[in-house]
Amino acid sequence: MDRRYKQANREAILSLILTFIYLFAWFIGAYCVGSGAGFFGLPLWFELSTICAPIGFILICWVVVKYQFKLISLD
Amino acid sequence: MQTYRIDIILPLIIYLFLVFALSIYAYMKRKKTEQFTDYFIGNRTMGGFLLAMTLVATYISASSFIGGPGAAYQYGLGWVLLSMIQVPTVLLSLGILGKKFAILARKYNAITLSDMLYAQYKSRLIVWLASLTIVVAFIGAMTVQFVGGARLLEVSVGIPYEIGLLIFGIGTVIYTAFGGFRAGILNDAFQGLVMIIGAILLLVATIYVGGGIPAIVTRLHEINPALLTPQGPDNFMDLPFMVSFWVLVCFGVVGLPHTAVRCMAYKDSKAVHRGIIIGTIVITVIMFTMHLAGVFGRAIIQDDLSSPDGVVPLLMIRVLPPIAAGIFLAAPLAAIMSTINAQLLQVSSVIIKDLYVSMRPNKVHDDKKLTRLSIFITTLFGALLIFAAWKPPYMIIWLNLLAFGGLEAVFLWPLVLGLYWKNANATGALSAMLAGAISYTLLAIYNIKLCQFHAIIPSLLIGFVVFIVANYIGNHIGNYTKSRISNRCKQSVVNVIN
Repeated sequence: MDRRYKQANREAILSLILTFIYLFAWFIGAYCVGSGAGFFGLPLWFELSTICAPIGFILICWVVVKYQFKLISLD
Repeated sequence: MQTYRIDIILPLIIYLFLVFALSIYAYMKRKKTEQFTDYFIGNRTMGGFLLAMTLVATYISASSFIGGPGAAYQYGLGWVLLSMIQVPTVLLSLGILGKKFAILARKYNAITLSDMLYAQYKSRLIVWLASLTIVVAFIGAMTVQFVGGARLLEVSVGIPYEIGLLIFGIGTVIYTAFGGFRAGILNDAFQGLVMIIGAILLLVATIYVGGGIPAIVTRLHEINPALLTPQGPDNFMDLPFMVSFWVLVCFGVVGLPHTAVRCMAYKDSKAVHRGIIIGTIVITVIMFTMHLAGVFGRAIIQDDLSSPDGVVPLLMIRVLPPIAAGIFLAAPLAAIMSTINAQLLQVSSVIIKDLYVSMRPNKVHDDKKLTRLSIFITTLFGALLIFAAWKPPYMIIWLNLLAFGGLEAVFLWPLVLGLYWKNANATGALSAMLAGAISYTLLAIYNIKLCQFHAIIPSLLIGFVVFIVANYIGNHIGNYTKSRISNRCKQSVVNVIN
C-alpha cells in the first residue's frame, strides 16, 4: 500500500479520537458538575462545557496537527 | 423612521456591492484553460485560510443565525451547550475524508462526489441515485434559504417580501452563476469575516444593554430557573435528544456532499493543517456568540413573540446603533448567500457532469461550451428556486427537514467505507444508500422515534448493517459468477484445443 495512505489513515483515526475526547469533556462538564457559580458569573457547568472544553479542544487540535499530521504530497 | 431605515440599508448595499466586486474579480482571474474544472472546484488551488472559511460559511446557514438563537431564547443555556456539539465538525470532515480523499480525487480527476463514488464502485446506478438525492434534497434546502433571506429583510428593514426576494435572490444567483466556485470561496472568506464581526458585535452589545452578565443571569433566573440548566424548561433537551444531535450535526456532517466537495479542492497538506485550526476557531466563536446572544436576549426582550425566529432581528434593532445593525444584518444574509452558493453549484455540477456528460460518454466535449452550459444551468435553476420561494409550497418546507439528515443517511457509509474498507463493493454501497434513504424518509415522515432518538440514528444503523450484509452477498455472488465464467472459458478453450 502507498505509504501516504498509511499516514492518511493514522490522521483519520487521530481526528476521531480527538472528537471523542471533546465529547467526553463536553459531557463531564455539562452533566457531572452541579449548578454552582462559575468564573464569569454564569453557571459552572456552562463555563466548563461550552468555554473551557472548546478552548482545550482547539489547543489539543493545534498540538496534534503540528506534531502528528505530516506534510505529504497529494499528487 | 425613513432615515433610520436608510442607516441600516446603506451598509447592506455596500456589502452587496463588495460581493459583486469580488465575483467580477474571480471571473477575470479564472484560467483560460480547463475552465470546466475551474468553474466547479477552482482547479484545486485553495489555501488554508480560504479552505477554513469556505467550510464554515457553507456549513453555517440561516439556522445558525436565525433559528438557532431563536431556540436559545426559548430554551436557555442548554441550547448553547447543544450548539457547541458542532465544534469538531471541521476537524472531522477534513480529518476523516482527509488526505486520502484528496489524493484519490486527484488520481481520478474527480470534481463531484459522484465522480468519487463512481471511481470507487464502478457503478452507474450509484451515480444516478446519488445525483437524484442531491438534486431533490437541495431543492428543499435552498428554497428555505431564499425564504429565510427575504423574511429577514422584511422583518428588519421593512422591505416587502417579494421585493426582498427578488433583490436578494437575483443577486445571489448571478454571483454564483458567473463567478463559479472561485467566486464562491472568495466570497465565503469575506462573508465568514462579516459573520464573525457581526456575531461578536451582537453579543457584546447585548451584554452591555442587559447591564452585565450577573444582572442578566439574575434576570433569567427570575424568568425561569430552568433556563440556566443543561436540560432546559420541561426537560426538553434530554439525553436522547443530545445524542441525536451529536450524530446529526457532528459525526454525520462528514457525509454532506457540499462539505465533501470542499475536501477535494484544497491545494496541499499545509492547507488542510491550517484549515483545521482556523476553521475550528471560527466555527466555535460564531456558534458560541450567536447562541449566547439569543439566551441573553431573553432578559432584554420580553414582548410576546409570535415566533422565536424574530428574536435576532428584533435584538439587533434594539441593542445595536443603526450602522452597526446594518453590518450585523449583512452577517445572516452572508451566511444564507454562501450556503445557497455552495448548494447551487453542487446541483448544477450534478446536472452537467454526472447526468449530461455521462449520458454522452463518446462525444468529445468542448471545455468552453460546457462552462457556458454550466453558467446557463446554474442561472436557470436559481430562477426556478426564486419562483418556488415566491409562495413556498408546504412540501418544500417539509423537504428541507428531510434534506440535511437524508443526505447524511444516503452518503455517509458509501463515502467513509469506500475510503477505508478495502472490501467495500457496489452491491453494499447501493443497498446502503437505498436503505438509508428509505428508512430515513419513512421514520421522518411518520415521526417515528425509536427509543426517543432522531430518525438519523436508526437509519444510519440500518444503512451500516445493510451495507455489510449486501457487501458480503455481493462479494459472494461476484466471486461465484466470476469463477463460473472463468470455468466456462477454460472449458471452451479446452474444447477449442481438442
